[in-house]
Order: sequence, then structure tokens, then C-alpha cells
Amino acid sequence: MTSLLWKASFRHLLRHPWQLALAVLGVALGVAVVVGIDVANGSAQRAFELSSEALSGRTTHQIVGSGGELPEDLYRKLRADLGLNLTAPVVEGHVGHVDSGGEVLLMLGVDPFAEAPFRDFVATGPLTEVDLGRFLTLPGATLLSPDTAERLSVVPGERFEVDIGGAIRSLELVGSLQPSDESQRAALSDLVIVDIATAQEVLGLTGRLSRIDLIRPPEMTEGELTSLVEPLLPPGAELMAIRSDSSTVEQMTRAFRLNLQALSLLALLCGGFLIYNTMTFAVVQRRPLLAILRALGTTRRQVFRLMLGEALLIGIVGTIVGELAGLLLGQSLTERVTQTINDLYFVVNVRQVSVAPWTLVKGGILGLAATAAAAITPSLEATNTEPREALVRSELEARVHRAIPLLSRLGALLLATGGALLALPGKSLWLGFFGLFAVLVGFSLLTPLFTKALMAAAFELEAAHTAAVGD
Amino acid sequence: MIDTSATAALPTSPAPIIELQAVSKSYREAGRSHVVLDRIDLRVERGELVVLLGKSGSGKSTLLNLLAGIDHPDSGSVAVAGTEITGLSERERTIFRRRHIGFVFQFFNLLPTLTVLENLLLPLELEGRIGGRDRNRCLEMLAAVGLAERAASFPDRLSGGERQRIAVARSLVHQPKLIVADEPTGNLDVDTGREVIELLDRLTRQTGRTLFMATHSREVIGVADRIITIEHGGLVELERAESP
Repeated sequence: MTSLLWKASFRHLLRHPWQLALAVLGVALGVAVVVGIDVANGSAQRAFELSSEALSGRTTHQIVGSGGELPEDLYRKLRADLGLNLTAPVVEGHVGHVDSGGEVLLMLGVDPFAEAPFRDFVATGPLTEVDLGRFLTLPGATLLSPDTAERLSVVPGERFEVDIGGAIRSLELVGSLQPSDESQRAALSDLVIVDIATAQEVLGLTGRLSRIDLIRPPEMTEGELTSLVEPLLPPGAELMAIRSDSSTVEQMTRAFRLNLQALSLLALLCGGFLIYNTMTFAVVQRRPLLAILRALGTTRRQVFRLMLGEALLIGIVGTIVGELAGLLLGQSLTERVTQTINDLYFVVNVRQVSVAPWTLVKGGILGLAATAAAAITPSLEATNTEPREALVRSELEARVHRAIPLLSRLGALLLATGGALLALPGKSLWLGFFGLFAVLVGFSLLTPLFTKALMAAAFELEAAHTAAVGD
Repeated sequence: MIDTSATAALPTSPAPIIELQAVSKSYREAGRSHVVLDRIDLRVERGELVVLLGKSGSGKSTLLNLLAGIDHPDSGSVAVAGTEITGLSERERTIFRRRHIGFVFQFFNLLPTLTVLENLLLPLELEGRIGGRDRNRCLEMLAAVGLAERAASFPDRLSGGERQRIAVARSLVHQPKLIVADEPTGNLDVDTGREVIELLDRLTRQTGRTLFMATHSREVIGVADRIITIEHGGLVELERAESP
């Protein structure tokens, strides 16, 4: 490929800024939505994982009851009857911070004497610095991370109010949690640590626990632990390995995330259509020029590379713009995705938008692949024509006209298939999306027929107008 | 001064620059076959200036396309500079065209996004020749067509006559064996057309090239060595005295 051909191509793009902008916008739009949704999904997922990891600490198993409640007595039995000393009771629930307009915080009630093997940010940090007696005996004594205290504008010794289902309760900050690293800092940003009795009182769970955390003794197998614990469990309660908890969450939100991802792919498909149309237009527009190049001795391969290279240049610029726009979009989408997860599944607070490198790589690959896929047909169209034919634009138009019946039949078939799939009762999510894509592509294939009919009507109107006003 | 070394490099064999044997070409139009060229024979010697006359639609452009390897005959053989191009693949024909054919079109067909100098450099660059010597050759060609000062201009800044002079320069810059001109004055006024013909005549003769020019303008007959017309799918050679 010669530098002059590239130069000619590049200057052509610069001489048609609106056309170039439309093509770049097409790619950018698709990539931005994919990246944005991925960032939002990833941030929510990451926030949940961080929160789970931080709150679970070194916990290997959890006992959870039906309805999220366990009798307090079970904890005593585990320690006293079974000798499982690596256990910690937990009472948790969500409260709203009154002064900040209801910001949701997770209240975690713990037993300071049982915490050391589990969560060192509770046991080894603040409780060695603050008066343990005060933490245990002062009504509403609370620990917050420094970030949270600053955000809520609370200083040690100061009281603040929380809302629990309409009931207002007063808490007092008595010390700070000290996160050991950035991920723990993020996980603790919405946490209110209180003594277990305080949590039971504030959350209305007197005599009950939310769960019991366990660390399986190294000498005990999984099966041994299960057979030891299960006979003590009340009806509906179960012993879960900690990993299965996050997989349950993943399963729970899978459909929701799939919806968002399909939506982002739909946006990419629309972007692909924009690129396809722009590149097709570029080929039709430059047909005489391509004919000159072919006549002067430019090979088909060179013309193909030129057109594809031009499309890839658009793809690269569009992808970069799309990645940047996607990051911005992701920040705003994170809030909405989080809100939906909070409404539908579980409470998660995302303080930090996390961008996985794979998200950017995926956006890049999708952007470039969609551009290449959309540009291949017009590029082949540009090269598969003899120079003689290329000098005559009507040849291309005649070819499109000949293809209209086939395209229309295919479009109608896809439209009918898509409609039927969408109308199926109890269909799977994938079938639903396949139906939606079929409807979209079906409509696109019918466009030439509609355009032809529209043009015919326009000509008739023009002819009628000309006849009315005279030549 | 134009470098004429390529002329000396041309083979001195008696093979004609163009040799057509029993060439036929027809097109399908509205479901019917329309014969444009019917078993034509033609022989053109090196250095000749041949003018092809004929009405619109008589098959002039078809014949030029066959000579340039842009189109393929239904039957018969086309040989240019000793190479039977009808036996070449599409890619080989393209490369042959790049090396050995120079084009002058009716509508100039300069690349609008390349400067005048770049338009001249393009045929050389397509052949992988991009040295300083080639650049100098382009500048010499520009001087030869009287447009040295417009090297950095884009084609849309030039008049029709200037564009066609650049197209003439482009057709010669890579020292092709045959220059094919399709209605080179068809889009110019009479005076400018005459200037372009004089330029083509002077430069092709100066460099010893063969010029095969299709036109329906009788103005150019004066410069021709031979005059051929297409009538009813066949070629008819006119004596100079016969020419109108």
C-alpha cells in the first residue's frame, strides 16, 4: 500500500468532517454503551465482593436461618456443646442516616470477644484504643471508619440519628475503624459497627441473630463439620460454605446483568449499522475515484486494504472516544444500576467506580471487530468491480435494485421469526433477545424496498407539481 | 528536458505495440445481445499516433478498454507490446496496465485529494518508485506541460485545460509503452482542446511513445499518423485524403 493512497484517503475523510463524525459517532456510541454498562455492572459486583470479603473476614462458613434469623441460643450450643470456639454471632440490618437525607448504612452488630479470629479491623484496631467497657455499655455506642465519619460529619463523642423503618434511634460515635488497605477502606465506607446487644435492640432482633460465622478447624473436614452442626440447626437454617454465598448472588443477578449486556450489544449493532451505511456511502461516493485508481493500476487487494484501513482508522478513533465516553457513562450508570440492584436483589453501596482492564479490552475488541465486520461488505463491493463497471454508478444501483426482492423477502422472514419469538409465552431470555435482533435486522433489510416506494411516491408528487405549475 | 532514455530501452523487435486478432465484444442490453466489435483485426506500430473516430456508442471506449486490459473480449486476442493481455489474470492485467499503459480521460480524473505533484507521483509510487530521481522527473514533466508553479495546488484550483495538461503529464510520467486517450478534448473548449492535443502530440513524439486516441472531434485529425473509424462493429482505416 502506498503512502499517497493513504494520504488521499485520509484527506478525503478530513474533507468530509460530518460524514467522518457520523461514522466515529456510530462506533463510539456502541463502544460507550458496552463499556458503560460493563463498568456499572463491574462496579456493583466489585463493591458487593469487597463488602462480602471485608465483612466475612476469615470466615469459612456461615449459618443462616430462614427469614434471615436464628435463635441466639444456637450460638451458645455451638461453642458450649460442640466446642466450636471459632464462631462469631452477627446481627445486621440496614439503617438510614437521618442528617444526610437517608443514606443507607449497614449496621453490623458483633461480639468483640469473639471477633479476633474473624475481622481484625474490629478486634485489633479500635477496640484496643477505645474503652471497651464504654463500647459495650454505652447505649448506641458506635464505630465508624474515618471516611464514613467525615462523610456523615460526625466526630467522636457526638451523637447522630438513624432511621429504622420509620423509628428514629440515636447512636454515638466512640471510635474509628482502621482499614488495613484500600479495598477494606472501600468495604467499610458504609459500615456502622455496634455491640451485638445494641444491634439487637436497634434493629428489633432481641434474642435473635442474623447469622453465625464459623471458621472450620483445620483438623476437621467439610463433611465432619456438616454432620456435627446440622443436627443442631433449627428448621429452615443451613450451613453454607462462604463461596457459595457469592455464587448465589451471581446467579441472582445474572438475568439482570444479561439484560444490560444484551442492551449494550444492541447499541453496538446500531453502531455497526451506522458504520456500514457510512462506509457504503463512502464507496458509492468515491466509485469514480476508485475506478481511476483501478485504471491506473491499483490492485483489488490495495483498494480493499485502503477501504478497510480507512474504516479501521474510523474504528480506532471511535473506539477511543467510545471508551472515554463509556467511562463517563459508567459513572452515571453505576448509580442507576446500584439502585436497581438495591430495589430488586440486595443492598449494595458503590463508593468507587472500578474499571477492570478487561472491560476496556472488550470494548476495544468489540469496537474494532464491529467496524471491520461492517466495513468488509462495502470494501469488497469497492474491489469486486471491474474498472469499466466502476466508472458507471448505475451498475451498482442496478445491482441493488436486482437484490431488493431477495432482501425484502429475507427481511419479512426475519421480521416474522422475530415477532413469533417475542410472542412465545414463557420464552427464555436469550430467545427474547434473538427475536429482538431478528426484528431489528428484518426492518433494516426492508429499508431498500421502503426507500424505493418512497422515491417513487416523491417522483409522482414532483411530476404532479411540475404539471400543475408548468415547466 | 524530458528523459527519453526509456525509449532507448524499448525492445527493438519488430513486434507491433498493438495487435488485435479477431476480437469480438458484445453487451447484453434490455435482454438483447448488442455486438459492439465484430472480429476486428488491428496492428499499430511503435511510435504511431492513431486517432479512432466514431459516433457516441460506436464502441470507441470499448476498444480502448480492451487495449488497456480493463475489459475482456468475448473472443480473439489482444496483445500490447508483445504481451498477450487476454491471457493474463485480472491481477496481472492490472500490474501490466500500471507499468505499460498511460491514461488520459475525458473528465481528467485527477485524484482530488492529492496535489498536482502527488497526482504525478502516484503512478510511480504504485510501481514502487519513490526516489528523489522520480520526484525530479515529475517536476520536469510539470515544467514540460507548463505548470511547474502549480505543483502544490489541488486539482480543484485548476482550470479544465490545466487539469487535462496535468493528466497528460501523469499519463507519461511512468514512461508507459502505450498512451490511451479517451476523448481528451471532449470537456474542453476548442482553443484549450487544441492546446492539449498539441501537447499530447509533442510529448508522445518527443518520448517516442505510441498514442491511441478515441475522439469524435475532427479537430485532432491533423496530428494523426493513422485514422481509424468504427462502423457496424468493424474497423475502417481512412486515408488522410478521405478524412473529413
